[in-house]
Formats: sequence, C-alpha cells, structure tokens
Amino acid sequence: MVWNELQDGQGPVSQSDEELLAQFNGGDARAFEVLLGRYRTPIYTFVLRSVRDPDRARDLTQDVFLRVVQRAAGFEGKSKFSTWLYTIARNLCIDTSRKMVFRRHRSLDAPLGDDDGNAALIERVASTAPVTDRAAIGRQLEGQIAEAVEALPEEQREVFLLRQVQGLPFKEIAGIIGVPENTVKSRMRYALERLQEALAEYRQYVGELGT
Amino acid sequence: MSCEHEDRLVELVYDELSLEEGRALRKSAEACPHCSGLLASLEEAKAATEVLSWIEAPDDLDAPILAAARAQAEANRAHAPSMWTRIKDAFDAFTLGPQVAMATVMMLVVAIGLWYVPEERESHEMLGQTVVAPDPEGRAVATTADEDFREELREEPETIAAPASAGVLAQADGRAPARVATRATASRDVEDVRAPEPDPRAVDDNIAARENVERVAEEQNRGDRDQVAMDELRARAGLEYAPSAAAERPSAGTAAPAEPVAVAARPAQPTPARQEGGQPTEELVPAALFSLARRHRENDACPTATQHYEDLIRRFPDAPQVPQALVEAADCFRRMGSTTRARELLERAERYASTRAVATRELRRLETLRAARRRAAPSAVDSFDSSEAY
Repeated sequence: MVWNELQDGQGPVSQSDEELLAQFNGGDARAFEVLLGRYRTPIYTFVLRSVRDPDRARDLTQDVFLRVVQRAAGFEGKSKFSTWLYTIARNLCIDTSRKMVFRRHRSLDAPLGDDDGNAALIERVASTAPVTDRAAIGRQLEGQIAEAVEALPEEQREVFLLRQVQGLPFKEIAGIIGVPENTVKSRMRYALERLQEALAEYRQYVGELGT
Repeated sequence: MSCEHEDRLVELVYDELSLEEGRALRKSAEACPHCSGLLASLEEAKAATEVLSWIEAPDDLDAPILAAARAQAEANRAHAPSMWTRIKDAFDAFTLGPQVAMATVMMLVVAIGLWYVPEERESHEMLGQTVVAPDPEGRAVATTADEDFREELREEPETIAAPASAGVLAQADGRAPARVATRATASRDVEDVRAPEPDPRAVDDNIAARENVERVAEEQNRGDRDQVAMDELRARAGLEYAPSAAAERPSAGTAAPAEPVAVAARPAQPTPARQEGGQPTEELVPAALFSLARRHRENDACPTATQHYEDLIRRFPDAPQVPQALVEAADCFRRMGSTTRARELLERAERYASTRAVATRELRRLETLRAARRRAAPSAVDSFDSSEAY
C-alpha cells in the first residue's frame, strides 16, 4: 500500500512501514515523512467517508498522525502498522460520531472536499436533468453511491470502507475492528446487498461504465 | 453448492481465495440458483462502488504533523539507547539463555571429543609394528599383540628384533636369517619379511648412535629432565630405531654383529612428528635403558648392567623390553653370584609368554648349578649368594 510515496530518490521508499517506524523511534524524522506520504490520503478518505465533514476529517486526520507520533515508541510490532493506524482512525471516528449528533443530519450544501474541489453533496445527488456524457454519469453515480454508503449501518459502513475503499483484507479488518473474520465477511456481504438494492436504478449506468 | 457457503462468496468477489478454491467455489455457485444470483448481485455492487475514488487530503494537513514528528524525532535521538543497552535488551529478551548456553557447552565437549578420537585412532594405526620377542631357541617370533590391542598401543613404532638370551640373532650362528613379523597397519595382518643381513657401515652407525643414546640416557637416569635433553634424546634415539640403513642396503654377506640389531619396519605413512624423531618419551626411555644395559652386559660390566636393567624394570614395568630384561638381568646376577636375585627375576620372567621357556630353562640350570655347588662345598652355598663371588 504505497500511495503518495516520496519519490525523490533519497527516501527509504522500499522499506516496510514497521521499519520506517523503528527508524523514526531512533530519531529519523524523514522516516515519518515517508509514512505520512503513504497514508495521508487513505486515512483522510476513510475519515471523511466516516464523518462526512471535510474540516472535521482534516482535523481528525491530523489527530490520527499526531497520536502515531506520540505513541510510536509504544508500538510493539504485534500487528501491522496499517492495522494499528486504522484502529486509531476508527476509534477517533467513533468518538466523534458519538459526539456529533448532527452527523446524520448534516447540511446538504456542506462541501465534500473531494477531488471535485468543494463540490457540495447536493451536486452528487441524482439529478433529474438529462445526462449528457459518461463523465457526468460517473459523477452522478458516485454521488449516489456515496449517499448509499452513508446510509449503511455504521458497522457495515466501516467494513465496506476498509475493504472496498482502503483495500484491506478481511483478516486485517477483523484485527482493526476486533471481531471475527467471518463476522467481517458477513457484514461486508450485507453491506453489498444493501448497496445493490439502493443502486438498482443505476444498474444500467454501471453497465455502461463497464463497457 | 450449499447455501451455508454464502459468506464465502464475498471472498470470491474480493479475490481472497486461491485460484483453485475460487474456481471450485464459482463452479459450485453457478450450479445453485440462489448462490449464483447472490454472487452476481455482489459482483455488481462491487463494480458499482469502485467508482468511489480517493479523496485527496488538503495541503495544510501535513504541516502540524511534520512539526510534531521532527520534535519527537529530536527527542528520540536524545534518548536513543546506547549500543550496550540494545545488546543487553537483546540478551534479556533471550529467555532461554542458560539452557542454550549449557547445550552449547555440551555440544562443544562432544565436538572436541569427536575431533580427538579419530586422530588418536589414526595415530595408533600409524604405530602398527610388532615387537619381536626373543625366543630361547634363537628364533625371532612375534608377540601375540593381536590378543590385546592395548598392548599394541604401548609398542614401539619400529620392530625391534630382540636377541635371544645368548645375545645373538639367527644370522650370527649361520642359520637362516631371522623372520621378523611386521603387521600391516590397517588390517593388522601379519606378513613375514626377511631381515636383511646387516651392513658393516650400518653396524658402525648403530654403534655410534647407541653411544649417543647411552650418554643421553645416563643423563636421563641422573634425573635430568631438561627439555633440551629430552629433545636430544628423541633425536638420537631416532637414529637408533629409525629405519635401519642396513635394511635398505644390499647385504655385504658378513656375519651379524654380536649386539642386537634394530630391524625397522617403517609405518606406511608416518606422521610428520615421527619423521622428525618425535618418538614418545615413554617408549624411548625404556628402549634406551634396555640398550644401555645390554651393552654393559655384553662388555661383562654386570654391576652397571644390572643397575640399568633394574632401573628399567622398576620405572617401566609395562615396557615391552621388561620380560627380556628380566632374563638378562638374572643372567648378570647369576654371573655376579647373586643366585637369589637371579631366581627372583627368572620367576618373574616366567610370567611372560615370550620368556617363559627361557626363564624355566634358566631356573632349572640355576638349580642344577646350585645343587652341584652344594655337593661340592655344602658350607659355601649360603655364602655363594654374595656378590663377592663375582
């Protein structure tokens, strides 16, 4: 899982996460920069999909990495670094969701902060306007899916995000959430079935995207 | 396809099964209408949700994180454990240290033992010669070393043809050359080799070497245990018992000398130490004493000869020369008039197979002589035992 790797030819890009963390514990700040480059976007995406507030997602992402900085010396290597990182992120998101009652009632005009800039969620909701091109169909579908994901029960949503969006295997997800692997698979199956039902009207569009 | 395997369809959709398992599960799912419909639905949902893309984090996300990381890294450097601390921690984490240490020591002991055992065996195989003990009849015969391999370990590396009690080899009286037994090192087979007739030059060499041995052995008898002297003793005795030049030279057709001749059988592959004259001291000294005593006896210097014989018998009771030394010492005492001591020595010689016959014969002869003298001068028998008679 290498995303925005530091590709300046000087960083230890080929080292494992655990090795980089050990180097950071030894006083190498650059090792942490590499880790941040690897996980800043995945964590931010996961947090944003969870809390659905860009500003809060940014703050939470910073909190996640700051906790890693503070607790790096206590990392014993019993699990993968990514498992530990997503566990921190998930716990922060759960704490936040408990505090933020408005989470389920956020304004539709709140900016998403995605790669479309500050496009509002309302812009992603299915429009009744005629679809003019494939890109428009894709943006419309993504908005529809995002809404469907937000509608998932929390336990299913986090599994779906970790597996579908973050690409983590079921076993690692089980370690992050703290439930048996079969439970994770069941939750994932139910999440997909729910999403399939919610997106039934867009099956044709999906088929068009696949061709 | 059993519907109880529905949960595994998720693994199939997300490629978390092996190729074989995936093929088998897909084939089974397609055979079941319920599972095939569910599989299609899951795959469709997965494909649909793949449009969810990564959301790029804002640029101002990193600054406070990196600042905190640099500060923490600086603190980590300041409190980084020393090399010694890391090593100590590593050993502390090694909970089975004592057990592993004991196992290592045991393995070392076994390894050292295994290292020496083959070397020792090889060195003994190198020694594979046989001491030829004298026979009363004047023929040289091999000892029964095969009966006791430990006896073999005490043998000298060269075959020493000890003379008969008369002090001559078979060649001396014109009979066929003595047959000297040489045992092959590995198979310990006994093969007969014919001892060559001694060369006069070799005899001279032996005499000269023996004189050297005598001189050095006398120093040894005086208790001089200086290492230099011991080295010299080894070197000079190597001349005495090294493969004889006489054995390598063509026979000159002359009679054998009266003194004993060392007939050597060189080991097949002697070790470098032995090639340099590194004969063990425990084998060298008795041989030197025996040679020295014998030379004095042959020169009719019986008091000196008996001293060396007694010294040999006392200090090296297990030496291979002891049986013959007992016989020859008894002869000296007899000639000196000390029949009691001569009888004691002969009785001891009877215990050895190689000298039993000659000892018995000498005892009988001694008894005959004693009886004759008693008949001649009954009152002088008791006083005959004094050395003054010599």
